[in-house]
Amino acid sequence: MNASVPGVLEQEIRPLPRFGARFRAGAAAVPGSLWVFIAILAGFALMALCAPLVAPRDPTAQNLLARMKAPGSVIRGVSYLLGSDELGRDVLSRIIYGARASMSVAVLAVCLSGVIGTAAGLLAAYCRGWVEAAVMRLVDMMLSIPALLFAVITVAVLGPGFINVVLVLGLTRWTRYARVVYGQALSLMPQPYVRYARFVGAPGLSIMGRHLLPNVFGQIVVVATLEFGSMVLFEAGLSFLGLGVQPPTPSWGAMMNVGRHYLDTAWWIAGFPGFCLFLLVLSVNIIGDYLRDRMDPRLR
Amino acid sequence: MSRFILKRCWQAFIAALGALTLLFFVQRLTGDPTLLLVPEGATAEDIAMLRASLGFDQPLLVQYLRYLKDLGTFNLGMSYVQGVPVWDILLSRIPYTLQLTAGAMLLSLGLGLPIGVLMALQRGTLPERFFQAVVFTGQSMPTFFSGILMILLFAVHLRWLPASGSDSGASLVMPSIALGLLTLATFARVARTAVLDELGKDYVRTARAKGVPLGRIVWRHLARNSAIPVITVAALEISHLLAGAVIVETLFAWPGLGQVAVQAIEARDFPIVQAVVLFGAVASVGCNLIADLLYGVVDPRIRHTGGAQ
Repeated sequence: MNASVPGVLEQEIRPLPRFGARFRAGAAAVPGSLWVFIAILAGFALMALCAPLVAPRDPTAQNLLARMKAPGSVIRGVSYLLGSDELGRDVLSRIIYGARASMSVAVLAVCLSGVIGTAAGLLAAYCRGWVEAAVMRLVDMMLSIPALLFAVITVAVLGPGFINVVLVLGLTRWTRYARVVYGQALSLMPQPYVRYARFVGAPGLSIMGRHLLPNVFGQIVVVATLEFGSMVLFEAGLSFLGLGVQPPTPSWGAMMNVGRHYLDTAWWIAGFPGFCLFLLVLSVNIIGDYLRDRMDPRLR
Repeated sequence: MSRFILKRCWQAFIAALGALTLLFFVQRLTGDPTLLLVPEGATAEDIAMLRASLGFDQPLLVQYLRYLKDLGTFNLGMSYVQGVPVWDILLSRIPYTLQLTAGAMLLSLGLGLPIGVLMALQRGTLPERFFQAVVFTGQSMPTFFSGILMILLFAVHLRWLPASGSDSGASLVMPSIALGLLTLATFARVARTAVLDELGKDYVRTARAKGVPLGRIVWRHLARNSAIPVITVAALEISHLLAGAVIVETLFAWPGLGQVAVQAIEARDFPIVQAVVLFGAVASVGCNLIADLLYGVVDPRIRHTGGAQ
């Protein structure tokens, strides 16, 4: 360290505050209205995690004597807070278990696509040459096929089901991460610390993992948050078309698909799952948007 | 100019070829696509016969070249369930999907752009916050939920509009709104950002200082300069609309490509599914090409240098 200019350097190389302090500072900066949406998201996550504890009844238990009862009905001592469906199953319990299907598909698919996309983007930016060309052309090709259509044909080939939906969404939705990570990493490559690491012969993996990745991680989190909302919608869309999680496992999309046939007599079968879907995606989008604005230095 | 057009056409051709290749390999994911085509309960003999007759016993490269040749001659095969050429089915359904997509596009452009411009001009005021809420709602509303809500309100309770079918122009209203809502939100956001970017520039300040009325500044100066991001997004959105049509058409029983694709999946009529996805891919590449060419019209700088934005 150069001792002749102490003031400048000491000011610049301030140690980062401890994590706890940073977390408190970050949390204090979050506007009050955003906490509502964070609470909604946390509520859904908790519901999905603790479904067996929260759900009042077995989501697959049928009761043909209590078919299509309106919300709030009490049939033989059993109350149906959000009504019952065409087979007499409790809509509230099915929504709670449906949150599980929706969120687990979305979380796994976001992780899978995030890992693939980040690796592809880092490799393309670090290796350049033919790797870069191959990755970016593949991204272009995948983007030129409408995403839902691509998912539909792939699930149709592989067959529906939980694992296949996760695989298909994970393997088709990595392109957005790849683009963002590639762009960011490319701009980091001429930075002195990266050039120094290359100069002293650090292996490629270490440069990508220890120097590039931490600096693009914030962007990845933003993309992942917004993608989480899309994944929930994709899963619901595929289930709506009968290509998602298969019955008897409840899922919001499938509930809406069945419920749309009973709209004039039992609107609650499709209405409540739809509203939950909307609320979940809205919360995720608002949180994602906030994160993106925070990350964008032009808007700060 | 012609070099610019040629280059863009060539790039679009490569993109389309890539997408078609990707689709070919996706269909070979399980190894043997014959199993997708036979009805349930077919004997091993039937399967072997079909495999040979469709050429699936040939090497992959031969199959791929034949697939390209078939596409080049618009031979999409025969429907296994209906026994008619897939091309005929596709042609009879395309007009419906185009009507629906056009309806959604018209709505989202017609409302989304003015909302976006208004949000940019009224920054920080109550109307902006109101529209912000509208945009967030549109962005987070699954097409099938907004569709169901509209059916409940306008078809079941008020009985203003038909819940399904394609008998009259009124049938097109709800599907277009359901499909266009997300795109509307996207256009509003893009227009807002584009106009905000331009508002801070010198030529706008000069015009305002000269006392040019705001409406004229928006119309004469901002519209054209903010057009590039809007065109880019419009091209991308068409591919979203085509995909979204699958769900909207199923919900409203609208007899377009999406509905035929979903029915084909249920009936295991694979050539039709493949044809619909092919159409979607080619259409979205085509729209991106048109957007590329429009850049040149809107911004002469791009036309002359031939460079990408």
